[in-house]
Amino acid sequence: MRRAWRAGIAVSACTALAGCAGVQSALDASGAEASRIQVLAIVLIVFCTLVFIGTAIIAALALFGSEWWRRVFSGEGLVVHAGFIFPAVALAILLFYGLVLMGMGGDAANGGDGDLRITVTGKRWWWRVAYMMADGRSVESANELRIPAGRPVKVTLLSDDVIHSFWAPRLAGKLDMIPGRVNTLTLKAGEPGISRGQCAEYCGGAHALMSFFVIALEEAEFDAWLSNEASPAREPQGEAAIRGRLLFAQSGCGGCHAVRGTAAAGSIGPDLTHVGSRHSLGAATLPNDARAFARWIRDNQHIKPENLMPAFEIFSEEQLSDLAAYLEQLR
Amino acid sequence: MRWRDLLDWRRIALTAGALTAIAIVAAAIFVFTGIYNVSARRDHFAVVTALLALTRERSIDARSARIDAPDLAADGMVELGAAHFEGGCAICHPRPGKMLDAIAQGMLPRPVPLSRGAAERPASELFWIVKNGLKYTGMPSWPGERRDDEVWAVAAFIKHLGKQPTPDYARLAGLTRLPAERRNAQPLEQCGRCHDAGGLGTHGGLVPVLSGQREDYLRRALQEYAEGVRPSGIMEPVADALSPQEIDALAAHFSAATPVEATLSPDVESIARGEKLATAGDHEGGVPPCLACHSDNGARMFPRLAGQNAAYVAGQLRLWQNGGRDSTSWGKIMSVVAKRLNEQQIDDVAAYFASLAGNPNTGDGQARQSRTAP
Repeated sequence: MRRAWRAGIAVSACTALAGCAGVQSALDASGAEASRIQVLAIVLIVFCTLVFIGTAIIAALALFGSEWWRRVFSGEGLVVHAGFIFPAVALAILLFYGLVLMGMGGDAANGGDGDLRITVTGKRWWWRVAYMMADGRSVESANELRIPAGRPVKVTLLSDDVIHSFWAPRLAGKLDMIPGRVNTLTLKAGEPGISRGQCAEYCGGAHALMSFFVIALEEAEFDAWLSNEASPAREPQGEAAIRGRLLFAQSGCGGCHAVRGTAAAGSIGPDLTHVGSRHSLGAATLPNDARAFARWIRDNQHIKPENLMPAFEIFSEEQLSDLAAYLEQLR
Repeated sequence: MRWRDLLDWRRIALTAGALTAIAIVAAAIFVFTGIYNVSARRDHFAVVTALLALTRERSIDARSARIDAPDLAADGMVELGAAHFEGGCAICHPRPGKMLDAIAQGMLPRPVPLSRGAAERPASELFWIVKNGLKYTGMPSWPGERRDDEVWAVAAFIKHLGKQPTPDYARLAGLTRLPAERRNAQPLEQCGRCHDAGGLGTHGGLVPVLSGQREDYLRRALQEYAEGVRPSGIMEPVADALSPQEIDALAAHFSAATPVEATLSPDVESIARGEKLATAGDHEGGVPPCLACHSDNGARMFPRLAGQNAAYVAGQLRLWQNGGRDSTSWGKIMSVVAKRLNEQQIDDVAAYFASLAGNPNTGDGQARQSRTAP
């Protein structure tokens, strides 16, 4: 019996600890702001736990202790010291500490080297991501944020439909994207790696399927990636991909999507110039592979109901695989 | 105290039970012996006829009370209704000024002549009857689901008869559009009663221009009508009667024909707004440019719109908004886009496409240039 209890406790402890790790855990900070938030959270939790234990001890002594303890607790001293002075002082210190800690974010933002500005616009239900480069060019991508590790990056958060909220828990706190307002968030990833974020403000039916990946890269790797991202789409190789390009051009895809370097210049949906190199499809809803492309084109209304793209049920299986072959090699 | 005995509940129950039993037996004899004559040669008893007529009128009245009529004088409404009447209704109902057909004379009730009786009804009642039909009269309900726009055209024609008892029916129904020797000929010639053919434009603006349209699209449209996936009370019966060879021949014929120059809308501003929408889309409203699909670059299954009648384009876009065209895989794509258009955008874009040259070799070519220009 006792052994079963122990096993049960061990299992639940493991499960609880496993919840702390992972690509989207605020308790597994990898960014500067998230680390500060984590320190603040731990300080607050420890402090609250100590206060709770102290209160429990006083209550226990008052109930079960000797006459002497009761006499001590019945005086005015306890109320004055533990009821007024201690909370006022303790809360003031914690508030001051919290303000100082979070104020450091502002310094980091001002200290950012300004070369790279990223604008993230919340859409229903995906993220438009634009990288403003030092030479003034803007490079558009979607549903994925690539940042250089080790330096702060200023991210401008916008929305032009409803209120969304940008939250990458391992890197920073959440910040709302409000139509008509410009909010700025500074992200600084400590080391290269992948983490996941999602919309943290209910924004409609498919809100839960509005996620993204943040990929922190070494400086050199990031520069190489950005210069590739800024370049026009590569020429398709292979018969299927070439047939796919023709289908893409003929079926009206370019009315909403852009593939830079081709006639497709739509700006309603995500830019697909390098869609094959992204970590996921459909705003972190599907893996990025040929099968997912085909599924999305035909069944997107089942995968993400009421998203703004029409379902293209007009394609045969062969046409879908040609289109998928074309899109997959847009790296 | 005899009246007290009469009020006794046992007596009342027994009497009621006996009467009910007699009624059931009498009804059973009436039904199972076949004593009632259902022959169409003889009318019902006068009292039955009166009761049926009262029930019918009350039903029509109650059910059409909340129906609001659109503008029945709109471009092409009366012509479309008259042309469909010729093909679909004149089988039973007499043409204006003509006698009832010999076969229809044997129907009970007899099909009403439309210029008398029917035309006096409010348009909403006519709409309800044409849409829903009437039980046990031979009047069928409208074949196409969600095609109220077509039903209203028929109501508009019947109301027009009321205003003009001896109308130029042959012209309204498109009969004079055909050379006399071809009037009952092959399907190819029958199309010309409404659609552009033989050097004439369409019979009113609600009928689509077919000359110069893409062959693949025309074949798809006829197949969708024939299979009943694209609803239309007017085109479904027509396409259903065609063989696959006839469908191919018609698609080839019309795609090769040269369209007739249509009269242009004088509203230059509307056309300019429509051009902007067609070539650049409306980013705010999530509307892609029309020419992303409807240009000569687009797949051959997408229809050309250059030179298409404005009233037809606007009517179809509104039909999409009302869910009347999203039953095919192609229609589902357009349905999403059409629902994002506002009333003005629909009129503008319809005016723009009508203003383009309908000839496939020139029309979209200009539009395509301005699309790739930015």
